[in-house]
Amino acid sequence: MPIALDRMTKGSRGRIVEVVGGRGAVLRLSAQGIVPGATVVKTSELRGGPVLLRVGGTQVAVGRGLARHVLVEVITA
Amino acid sequence: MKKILLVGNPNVGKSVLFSKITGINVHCSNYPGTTVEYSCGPSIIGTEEVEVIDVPGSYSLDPTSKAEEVAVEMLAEGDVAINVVDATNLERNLYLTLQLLEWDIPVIVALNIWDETKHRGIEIDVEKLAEALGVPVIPTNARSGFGLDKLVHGISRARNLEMPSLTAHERWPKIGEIIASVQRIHHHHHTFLERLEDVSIHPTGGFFVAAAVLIASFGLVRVIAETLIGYVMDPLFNGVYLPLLSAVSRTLGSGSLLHDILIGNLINGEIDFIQSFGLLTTGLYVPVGMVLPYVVSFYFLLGLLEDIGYLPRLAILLDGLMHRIGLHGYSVIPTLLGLGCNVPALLATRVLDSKRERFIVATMISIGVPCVSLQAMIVGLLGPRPHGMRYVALVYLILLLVWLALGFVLKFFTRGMLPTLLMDIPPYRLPYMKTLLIKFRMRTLGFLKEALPVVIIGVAAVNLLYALGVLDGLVRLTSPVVTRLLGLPPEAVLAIVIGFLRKDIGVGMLAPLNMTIKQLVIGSTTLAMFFPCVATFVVLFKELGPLDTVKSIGIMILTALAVGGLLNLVL
Repeated sequence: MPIALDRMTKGSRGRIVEVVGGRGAVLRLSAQGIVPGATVVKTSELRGGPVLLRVGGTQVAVGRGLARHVLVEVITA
Repeated sequence: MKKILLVGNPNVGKSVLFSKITGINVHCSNYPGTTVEYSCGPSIIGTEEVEVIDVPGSYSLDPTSKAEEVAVEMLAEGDVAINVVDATNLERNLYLTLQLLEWDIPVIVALNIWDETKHRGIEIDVEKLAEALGVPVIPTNARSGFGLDKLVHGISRARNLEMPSLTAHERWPKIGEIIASVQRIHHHHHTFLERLEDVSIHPTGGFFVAAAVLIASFGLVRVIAETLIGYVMDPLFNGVYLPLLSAVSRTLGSGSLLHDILIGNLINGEIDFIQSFGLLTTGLYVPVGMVLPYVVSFYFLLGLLEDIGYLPRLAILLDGLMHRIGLHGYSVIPTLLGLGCNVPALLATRVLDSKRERFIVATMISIGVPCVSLQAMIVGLLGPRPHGMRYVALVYLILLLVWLALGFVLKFFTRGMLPTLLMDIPPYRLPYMKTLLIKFRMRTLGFLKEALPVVIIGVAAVNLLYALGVLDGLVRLTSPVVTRLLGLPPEAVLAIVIGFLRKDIGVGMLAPLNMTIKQLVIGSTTLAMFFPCVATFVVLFKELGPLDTVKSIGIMILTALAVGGLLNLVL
């Protein structure tokens, strides 16, 4: 059952299954490596603020509103 | 002349590489019709003279921002692209590389920050990478100069593959394959900088770091500025310049028209740099003697924080808070710039996505963020009084509260989408002195070019209007508001009017009015909020258009009168 990025627990790893959103949001996310099929690790999050991910070798901060539009399948909790 | 483009993600050392392969005739300019800045400069490759262009950093060639649009347009005009890639972050950087290979332009890859790969336990097979990409790959280290000769000689071998175009869904798996075959990552111990990176975006630790960084920065700005004033500016102005001016003053004779304009009024028979209000006295002393030291130290520290890579972390940390006032974390950066000068701050609001957000941030900056000139004068005016620094702190606190309150109100009353933040977090890097100094010099010269003429013209205009009696009329007309509502002496009107030209001069004009500390606090906060200075006004108009500018200025005047009136009742 896929969940949104902001619902993932800290330290868990997941595979992105879908990015729900307009063309602009999808393009911005894909330039950061956030595309269906990619594996991400949620490293941290700030309360009311962005979700921090590790994608490839990079740390990326995804604002809360955008994080809700990225659906992941959790691989390891 | 052949055009060589440096193309790459942000924070991959492009500017350092640029400064190393170009000569001294480097210039920066805005891309036509935009505020996107880029640098270009001549260089000689082999025997051929070429132009090197530092293209704005971009993640992809599907433009999602103004800077990326510019990058794409520049690509169409270039002859060769040097793709600058961060070797410590190969996977993400290859996305742009693959897109570049689809473009009709010869490409060569500079695998930059090569020496760092060792510290981070990364091993890259350069030959295999070149084979996989189909273009030459040269490991470089721009700071030390490693590999740059080889890179420059390799430009003639750059290849134009014009690969068939892929979608994002096809590119990332392809990158995955390349990475799996060319890169190996070994376990390594976290370096000191990496640990610092982690703590500065930690949900709780990050706020302590932020508080420490900001307090230390402002402390340092003051210490550097006051040292410069005490040991350089004051000795220069009082020891060297004053005797010279006194001689001029005696020659012209007090009371003559020329004396009034150049020297101004003598205070107790002496020249007073703040109160005399002549072109050569106040007109020169305030911008150069009092304000410039603060400008210099502010821009030095801002450049340092920028080049280390701290600012994106601050944006991430404050994103949650900023959302409550209708903004996203990135608006912290224009706001911080505003503490230097509101003009570049308003220009920087262009990076924000929505029109609504630009309006909110621009209005909030114009009202609640005092520029360094204004701050220098407030410190100079209030600081020497008994408990002066407490009152300075009070002014800052009032402005901060107004700034926050305004955010809540504007979020409520404006319509439009609420943007969200999305950014990569660059690693901390030790700043490179040469690029730091170039930026510092440009900003400082920019201040002098912008401020000096306005101050001189402003001082001249006031003297002229004063002589013509125009100002007396204005004072009479507005004095009920100023005296009853704000509790200030009627002459303070002049200061507020001059505040339109330069806020620092406006605050300076409060000095000779023999005001109480309460009146000074009200006067300087009102002046800070009331109206933008003329340079800020012009930019505001250009950025927001006539309608929103009128709205924004209406908000400023109302806020200034409301807060000033309230302070008069409460204090």
